[in-house]
Amino acid sequence: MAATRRLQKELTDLKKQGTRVYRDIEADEKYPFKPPKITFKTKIYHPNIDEKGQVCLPIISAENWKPATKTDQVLNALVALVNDPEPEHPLRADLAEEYTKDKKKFCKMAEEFTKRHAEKRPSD
Amino acid sequence: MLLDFCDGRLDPVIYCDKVCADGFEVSNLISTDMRTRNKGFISESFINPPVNIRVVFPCNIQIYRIVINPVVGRQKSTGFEIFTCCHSYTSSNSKEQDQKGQHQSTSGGELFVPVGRVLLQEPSVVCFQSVHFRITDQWRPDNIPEVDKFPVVRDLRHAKVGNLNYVHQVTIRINRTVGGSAPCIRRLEIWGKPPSSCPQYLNDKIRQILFPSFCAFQKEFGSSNLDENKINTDKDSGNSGNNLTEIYGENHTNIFENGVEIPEEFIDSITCDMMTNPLLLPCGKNIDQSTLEKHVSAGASWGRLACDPFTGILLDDKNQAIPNSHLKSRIDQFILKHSELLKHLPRTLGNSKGQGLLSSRLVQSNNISELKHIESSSKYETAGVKCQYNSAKSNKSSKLENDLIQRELKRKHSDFDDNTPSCSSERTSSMQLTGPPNKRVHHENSLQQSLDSALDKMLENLPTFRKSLLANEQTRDNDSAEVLVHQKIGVSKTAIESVDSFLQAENSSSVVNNKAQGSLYKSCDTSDEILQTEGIIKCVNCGEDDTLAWYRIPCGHLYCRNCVRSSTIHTESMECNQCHNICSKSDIVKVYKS
Repeated sequence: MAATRRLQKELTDLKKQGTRVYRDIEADEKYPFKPPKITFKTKIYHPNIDEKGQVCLPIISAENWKPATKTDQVLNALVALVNDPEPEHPLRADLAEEYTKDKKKFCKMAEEFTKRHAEKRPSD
Repeated sequence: MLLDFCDGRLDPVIYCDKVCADGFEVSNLISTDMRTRNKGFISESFINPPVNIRVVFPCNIQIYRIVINPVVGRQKSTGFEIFTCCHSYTSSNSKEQDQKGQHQSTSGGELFVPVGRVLLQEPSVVCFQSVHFRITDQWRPDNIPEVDKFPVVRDLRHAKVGNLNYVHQVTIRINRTVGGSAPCIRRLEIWGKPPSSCPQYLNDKIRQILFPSFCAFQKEFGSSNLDENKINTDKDSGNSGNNLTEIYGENHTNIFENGVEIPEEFIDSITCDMMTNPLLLPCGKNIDQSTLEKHVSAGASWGRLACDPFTGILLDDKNQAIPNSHLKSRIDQFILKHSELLKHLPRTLGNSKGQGLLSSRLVQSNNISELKHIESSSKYETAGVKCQYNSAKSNKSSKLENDLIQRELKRKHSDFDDNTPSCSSERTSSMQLTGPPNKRVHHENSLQQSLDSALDKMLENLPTFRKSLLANEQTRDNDSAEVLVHQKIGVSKTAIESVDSFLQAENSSSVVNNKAQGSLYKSCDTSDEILQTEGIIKCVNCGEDDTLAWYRIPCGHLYCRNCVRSSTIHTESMECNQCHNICSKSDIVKVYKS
């Protein structure tokens, strides 16, 4: 009950800020006392996101999580991570190595990968 | 919400063309330190009016209101004139501004126009209000008092609207003082808003200045957020209003519960539910006790110690969450007021034995009876206890219940026989009946070991009870407050048979009592009440009369929270210092002023 209500409020706040509504945000029963889980449904070529779509985000790790952390903070952190990978804490070591050693190649691979796997944007 | 541009955080610059007295410099008027700001400005004692005080704003502003308090101690100014100057805002550096200003003033380039003046008979706070200000949704004067709160109100007007809506400098000229007083101003407030064409970097600055917590959180979560924000603000292209409301908007999502708007302060910001038992955290925020418990248990499952859910500060002996009793009083009062619509919400009552702090009991207000007179004796306790058992334990086995009641009654009975053997029919609370009879419970005091015999005895005793009630009314008139209490009469949902028979017997007795005009009823299912009274209620112990909630002990006297706490802190019972009846802690009833 609390989880649904909290999420509703946060999504209205997000809408007010002009953020496009995110699909597939659901409230776990334990939220906001336990951190939310984020998984990527689309495959992505990224050192911090593994093949299953699991992502390692410090802000929602158990050690750092605070119930007062807001959804938009989490989303912002996620966007930041996707844009600037952190090869120091990789989930896929091979990609991290590639990213640090040969960034051009990484970018090229990522672009190809995206062309193959990306979904269409909802509405641009 | 409007901004006070004399707030030092907004970087106004202030000048005075005369010498200031030591400690009362003109910069006091824009100080960020409240104490300094409240000292005010006095010019040196040999200065005669006029004195010009010039305030330069960091950006051009729309003025809504100028408030001047002209009294500093014995120094009083009575005549003021307001001038404004608007010159188009170009420079981006305040130093440049100053140079430019000086340059212009030397060349006489600055044109000040008079927009308002006042000559006070009696020096008092004067409010100049602009007639040209347009209130928009984003800039409402909701954080400043109504205009009619000021003793003196004058208009600010000028033929050219721009002279009030695009103001770069304001000059306040003190042109008259009382007697030989030095020109002075205690406090100066200039309320307004930045114009819609306000430059971007000023917007950011205002944001940073006024919402330091917001910026702090940005820092905490890394620069990426900041970048995001910059992008956002760039998109908004200098519309300060939008940015500010964005930030405010977060707080203004109203939460409705069954159509009743819940005040923001009653909402637990973590669960977004209404708080039942608010705790004040070390960080200054209030959350519900259940929320904190959940948070602590969730943390414990990861091996974390109890910490503040907002800041992560460990909760130890020094930093503890303390119950916010004042907020809780207001929440309880709010729920009582809207008891019809909010009956599904949990709330705490302190009067029930064997139930924890978080027990929830509902208030139904469909049977509102008028309590004409509150009178009570310690004898009431026995009946009260019994009924509480009825309501709380009616689901459980009747045998156990009977046993418990009997044991309880035996104990009480023997207690009271020792203390007050003669007043077997002193009664607790007299109420006029308006509800259906089968929903009432009447308590009688002469109780025997079993319920049946207790009922028999009770009916026998009715006449004597009435007599002593009348006697009591006369003797107690002085110290019992005339109060009307809206009170609810509850029924236990699944009454067991023995209780049914008890109720039936009581119905018959209530008919008798109705005729007897002084029928006495006390609800058994609630312990919180809303109190309506015309007179002033005072704590009978300390005379305190300014509190939200009162505590009524069974003899009818009202105490404030402090007195109840201090007298029950070590013991489970409390002695009334008016009538010296001893009552148990659990029978103290919380009542609210309506």
